[in-house]
Amino acid sequence: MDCMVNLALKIFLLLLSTASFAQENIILEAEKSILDRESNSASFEQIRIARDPLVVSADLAQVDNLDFSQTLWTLSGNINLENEFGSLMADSGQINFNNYQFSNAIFFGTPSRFDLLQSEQETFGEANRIELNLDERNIRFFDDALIQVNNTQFRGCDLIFDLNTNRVTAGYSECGENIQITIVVD
Amino acid sequence: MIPIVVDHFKLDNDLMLSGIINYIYKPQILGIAIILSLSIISIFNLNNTQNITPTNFLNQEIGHYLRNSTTKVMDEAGQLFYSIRAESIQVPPQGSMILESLTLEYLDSNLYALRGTLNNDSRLTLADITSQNSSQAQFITDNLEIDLVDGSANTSSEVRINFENGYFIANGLITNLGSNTIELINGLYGEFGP
Repeated sequence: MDCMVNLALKIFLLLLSTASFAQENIILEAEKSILDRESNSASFEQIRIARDPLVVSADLAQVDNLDFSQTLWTLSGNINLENEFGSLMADSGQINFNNYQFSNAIFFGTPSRFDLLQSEQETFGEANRIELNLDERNIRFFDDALIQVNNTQFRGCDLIFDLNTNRVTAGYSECGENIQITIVVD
Repeated sequence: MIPIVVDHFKLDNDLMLSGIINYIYKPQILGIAIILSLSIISIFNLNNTQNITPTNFLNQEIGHYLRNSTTKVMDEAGQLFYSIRAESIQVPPQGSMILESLTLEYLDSNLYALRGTLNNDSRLTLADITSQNSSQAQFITDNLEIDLVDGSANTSSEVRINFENGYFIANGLITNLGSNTIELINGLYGEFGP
């Protein structure tokens, strides 16, 4: 009887450890890759990186070190990112992993676009540069920026969408452009 | 006295024995007859052992066998190009050499394989390979073809590359043993974790 209990306990612990390991792992898939065995730097084609809840894919990727404890990935071509806040499309960008966690990213495009997951309202932002900062829990739109929340449009050179409050604020005004607010009437 | 009547037996060039025992009183006699026959064959076989002379050894008219050998190949400047250390090497009179438990040191690359065959055109085919460079990412694969002249190596077998914090699995590899880069092809999957 004791033997059976021990066996069941071991199986339970094994399943528990497997589940937690799988959840914490970064999954990386690609069509092909070139690795440098000495420096551990690598380049990838048609890459997809997943670390729940983040999934990011791109045509090309370059990383200086595959050690995800502190890694900066440079991406280019058809970038798609999805996380708990929404989905992004961009032409190029860089994403940071800190201690195996996605921490922040910067994306470029003409424009780049972030569609936010909002249960009651249609919200998206466009800009030539988008910065996603999970530490500060905001998305910042630079250079020809537009954020639309339902039928209200915000335009400027530096707009910030706060992910905690779902509010739009203006960033630095050094670019000399005032924020413009337009209410679109159907 | 137990009579054994044998019609005839002969030893031909292929050491074939043919004989007929016509009449045997006890089963034990059959065993004695077999032992006697094998003794005759053994004597005949010993008499036909090919003599190994320095001439036919060097001309590789016969095969030979090496144990715990290290083969070193130098480049034109007299520098070590590569070396193969093997527990055993069978060198047949013709065809490929067969190597077992071998370590190939090629410039900065260091590969261990359970088996290998080396052709006359310097193409080395390895099976069950593990790269052994401790400071570099380790790769493991079932099969690897290496051109020892230019150092190029490839496989279409599954390749696993181990890192300190994760691994990659790919369905093919192209590399040059003289360089640090490995190209993983035909799709790859990897997991990294703390």
